[in-house]
Amino acid sequence: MAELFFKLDVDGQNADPRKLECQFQNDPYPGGHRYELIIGESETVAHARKIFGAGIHRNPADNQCRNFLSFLGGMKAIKIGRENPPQFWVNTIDEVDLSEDILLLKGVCSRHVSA
Amino acid sequence: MKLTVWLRLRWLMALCTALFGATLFSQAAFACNIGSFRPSITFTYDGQNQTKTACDGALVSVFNYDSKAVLIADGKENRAAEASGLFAKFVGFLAADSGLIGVTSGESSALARQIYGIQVNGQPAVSSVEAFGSRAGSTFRGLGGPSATSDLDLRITLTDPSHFSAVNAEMNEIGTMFQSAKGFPLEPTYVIPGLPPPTLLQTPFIPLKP
Repeated sequence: MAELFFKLDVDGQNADPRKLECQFQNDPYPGGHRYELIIGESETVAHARKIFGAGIHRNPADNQCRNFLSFLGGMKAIKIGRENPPQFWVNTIDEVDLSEDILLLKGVCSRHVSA
Repeated sequence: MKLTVWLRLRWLMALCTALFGATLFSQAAFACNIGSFRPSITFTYDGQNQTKTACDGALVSVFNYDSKAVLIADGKENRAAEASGLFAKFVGFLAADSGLIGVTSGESSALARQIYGIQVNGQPAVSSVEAFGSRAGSTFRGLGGPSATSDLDLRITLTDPSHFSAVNAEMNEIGTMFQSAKGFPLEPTYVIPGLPPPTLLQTPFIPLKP
């Protein structure tokens, strides 16, 4: 049984996953940051297994990324809450590493642009 | 399951009608032989693997428009740039129809009916649907509008947090059908009761009405 956790690093620095939003963009705007998100929450891991399959996947298809990020945005908020304003927006998934009960996502994210 | 298939087919027919008008759709329906309402004989649908039907070919052939539009968006040939002005006028015309760029009011209504029709345990699972982002007129990216393949962003408000997974699964199916018909995807963002809403800035929100 996976533990309930989401661990976020942006540009190598720890960040608050409750301040992370998800919006797929295959051409990230403004982009400019790299993230790593480790997920051990069981429903999210199960959904990733359904979308991507187990193992390492580099540059998954746009539709897979869009589908998964849409799910992740909602499920993460349900599981750990949401803190507004957000700090970063996940835009792409460049790499998926899915083991038995841990999911690692890597890709490009954007800093939140305030109004 | 047959009822589900039929409901989906009805929505697809409505979308086809909205997209292509009665004449083209009647040709597509004729080609698909769906006028006799025998979906369970012609194809199966298990919710995960949507078996393609003869209808797909008819839809794709009508959507030569989209493949041309992709070339325009990518700017891969000179004629494409020439045509982009025409495309911009065309999408401007469509925007006047529904308030959404590249989506007619008929398509918008068909989509709204499908999303508002999602139920969990016999109860409506969605309380509001709004479009936002570039197809709703946002210029956040500074590009002066969406490309031909830009997605249609939707803000979907759930009636209960426990409905999230079911609604998301339904939205994947709706999105697959929408993309095969329109050539660009849907991208739902969810507002979940009891949680702060996602912060979406610098965009209009346009309600989708059934």
